[in-house]
Amino acid sequence: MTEVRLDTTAIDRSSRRKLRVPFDAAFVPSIIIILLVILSVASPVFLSSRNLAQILLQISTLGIAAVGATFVIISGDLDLSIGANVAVSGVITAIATMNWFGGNWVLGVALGIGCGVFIGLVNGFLSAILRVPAFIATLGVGVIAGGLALWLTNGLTVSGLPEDFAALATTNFLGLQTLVWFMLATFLIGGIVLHFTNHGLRTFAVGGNREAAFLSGVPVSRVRITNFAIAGLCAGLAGVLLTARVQAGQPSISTTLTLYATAAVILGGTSLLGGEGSMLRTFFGVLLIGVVQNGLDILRVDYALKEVAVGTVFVLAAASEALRRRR
Amino acid sequence: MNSSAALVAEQVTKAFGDALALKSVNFTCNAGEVHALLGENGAGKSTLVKILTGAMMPDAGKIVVNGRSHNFRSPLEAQAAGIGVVYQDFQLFPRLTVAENICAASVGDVSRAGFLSRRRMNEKAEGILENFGIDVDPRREVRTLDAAERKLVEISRALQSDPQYLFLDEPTAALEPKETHRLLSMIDRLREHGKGIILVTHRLQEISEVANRATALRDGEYAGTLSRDQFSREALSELVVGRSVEQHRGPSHAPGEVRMRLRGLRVREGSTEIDISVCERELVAVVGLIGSGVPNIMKVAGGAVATPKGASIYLDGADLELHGPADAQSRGIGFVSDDRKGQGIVAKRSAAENIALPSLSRFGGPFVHREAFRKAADNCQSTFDIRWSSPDQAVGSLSGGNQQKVVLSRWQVRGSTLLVIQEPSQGVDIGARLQIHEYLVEFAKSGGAVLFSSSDLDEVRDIAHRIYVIHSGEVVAEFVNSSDHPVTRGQLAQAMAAMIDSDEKQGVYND
Repeated sequence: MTEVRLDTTAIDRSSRRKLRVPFDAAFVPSIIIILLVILSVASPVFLSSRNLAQILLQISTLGIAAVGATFVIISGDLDLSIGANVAVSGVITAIATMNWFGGNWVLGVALGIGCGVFIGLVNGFLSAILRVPAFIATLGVGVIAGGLALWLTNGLTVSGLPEDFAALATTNFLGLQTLVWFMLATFLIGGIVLHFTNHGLRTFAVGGNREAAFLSGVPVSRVRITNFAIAGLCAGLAGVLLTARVQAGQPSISTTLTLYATAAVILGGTSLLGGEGSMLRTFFGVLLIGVVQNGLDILRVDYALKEVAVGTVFVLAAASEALRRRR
Repeated sequence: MNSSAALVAEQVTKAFGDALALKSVNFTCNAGEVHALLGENGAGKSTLVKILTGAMMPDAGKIVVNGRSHNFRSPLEAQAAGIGVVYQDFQLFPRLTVAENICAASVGDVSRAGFLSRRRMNEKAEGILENFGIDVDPRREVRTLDAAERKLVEISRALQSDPQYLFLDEPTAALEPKETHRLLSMIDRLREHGKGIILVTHRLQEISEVANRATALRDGEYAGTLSRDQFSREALSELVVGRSVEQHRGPSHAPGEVRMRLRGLRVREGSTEIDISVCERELVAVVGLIGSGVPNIMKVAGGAVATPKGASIYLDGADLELHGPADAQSRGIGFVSDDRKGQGIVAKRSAAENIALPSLSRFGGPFVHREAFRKAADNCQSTFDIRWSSPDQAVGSLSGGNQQKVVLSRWQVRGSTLLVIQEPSQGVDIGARLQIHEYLVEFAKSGGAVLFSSSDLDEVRDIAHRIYVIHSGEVVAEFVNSSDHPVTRGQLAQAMAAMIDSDEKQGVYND
């Protein structure tokens, strides 16, 4: 009989698989670098330190919200109330400062952040205790919160906030506004909590296998509620800082923020199914969105076309990621 | 022609990167024989199965079917050559009917002008089911079937393309003794129809019941073939493990005082209350068929669920109720579920993290202590002989036996003194199974208590001091077992058979 000789593609493929892990982590950063190169060729302004600082400033609110979303998504849930939470927390900060506390913005900020945490706890209670699916529970809470933000303000922006409150977000420190430093600090603290504490490890366990985590004595409900509260805390902080930056409480600022925050987490490579992901990945996901949006601004792309372009980037990045994983 | 009616693998070699998974392996399954394929996890069984069923291509060597040389590039090509396969995990559509599941791959045959003929589909399915004596209504939805019926439907689906050779990958892994019996008799019928069956299994008992020959692989190499008249537990184990193995034949040490007693549990409305106990230094087995309520008993005893109303647990001198896993663990109980994938491991996380999971707060402070995790994991590795590249390896990529060892390691690290284990060696290869038994016996000898359920009567006879037989939520028999006075397979089988008889009588009355 003739000897059957077979090709060796299968072997090549399996050895290639070993090289994939660092490549996975480098995927989004390398897209960002490619975009940076293209955009710097297209416009000399792009790589200026002023523009780079501008990019970080533009993604600050999104970034802070995305840190919270990362916790919720890794523990296997979803928070669709983030944008509305940012809006209502900001509005409450503004109204409380102006109307209730006679200009004392410290109390206003405390109430705004407290409001964010409270909304997170409601989400957690509905999802983890009453067992309402997180998708519908947080969507409903988000609709309520968004409605409250409009009702509290009659749909108008609340203006006339004190100058020193604005300074909370806009003071320049080492070349960057404090808002950017708040975002970087949030990522750092979020990363430490997620990757170096027992709560972080329990979050991965709950998202990876809820039953197994429960049988291992992990307080599953407490972990989930805590993560919703963290997401609420981040949304509240984002709302407060956004209010400080624009010096006004705006009820309708954050309609797409929820989806962008979730998209940033997923673009970074964190699984929507839970149990997987990292804070660094989320940071790169947020940065990718920022670079694309800023690049389109600099190239003076029409607003509507900009939306089309951003959506296209989402789809392409997610599709190439999915294709690469299948291979 | 008849003499060459066989599926043959000649000198098959396969490498993954630098590691050789198969080294010049020869294997022959004749038409009309049941050929058991044995080996520990990682021995190369599944690679060989994948190559012979077209899911993977060999690097060298050839595949000969009935004298014709083949070069399968896909499972479809293997199917065209008359080779079928049923994988271990259930791959059925639960919301579709039996007939729809069986015909899913070939709807063209049962439709006219693009419209599906439900009548023809049901007839076709009925024909296949009847031909092999499977008593399942083709109109039922698959999710209403029990585990054995599902397995039979899966086999029927593989049979609809009429393969001459059929691979069954651990078909009885999820089945109870009675269901296993049903499945084995179907395998017998397939053989009578002239089919060659390649049975991949860890269970030596079923090999001696149904197989004509058994071939083992060891570290990717052909280790030898035994024919039916050479079968014995010792010979088969030796073939797989590669050295003579010492089987426990009933425990040899004496148990101490009562450690835990579960009383007042009613598994179902109107049944007598359960009263079972386990002593220090004792291994106690709970056996029963599907529907007998064994899983409920184990979950209550292990604290996987809160102690139900009316039941009470006497533990270390006090009557109490357990409020859930965390509570049970703080009282020294460790629970191991039989659903390792669904309720045991966190597949994507590392072995070290999985092992440390129940003990996180005991390492102190809010921060994780990775160095301490690794040290604990290293200790467990030497206790259990866990095979991993490092404790940082994701648990999902370990073999079944190593995963089970990781789950047991959790309670070793947590310092549990009472283990409640469902199916200690389910889906575990023979070598790991012996090591797990060794560990459990040592654990009991040094003062621990073990309550385990098992559908493997050999396992029960090997290590249990006492055996409770459960039927319809009640304890119907209790055996004492020791190396001096071992329970015989006959005695246990008789207790089981009595249940099967009573089940069948019930069936008659229902009609």
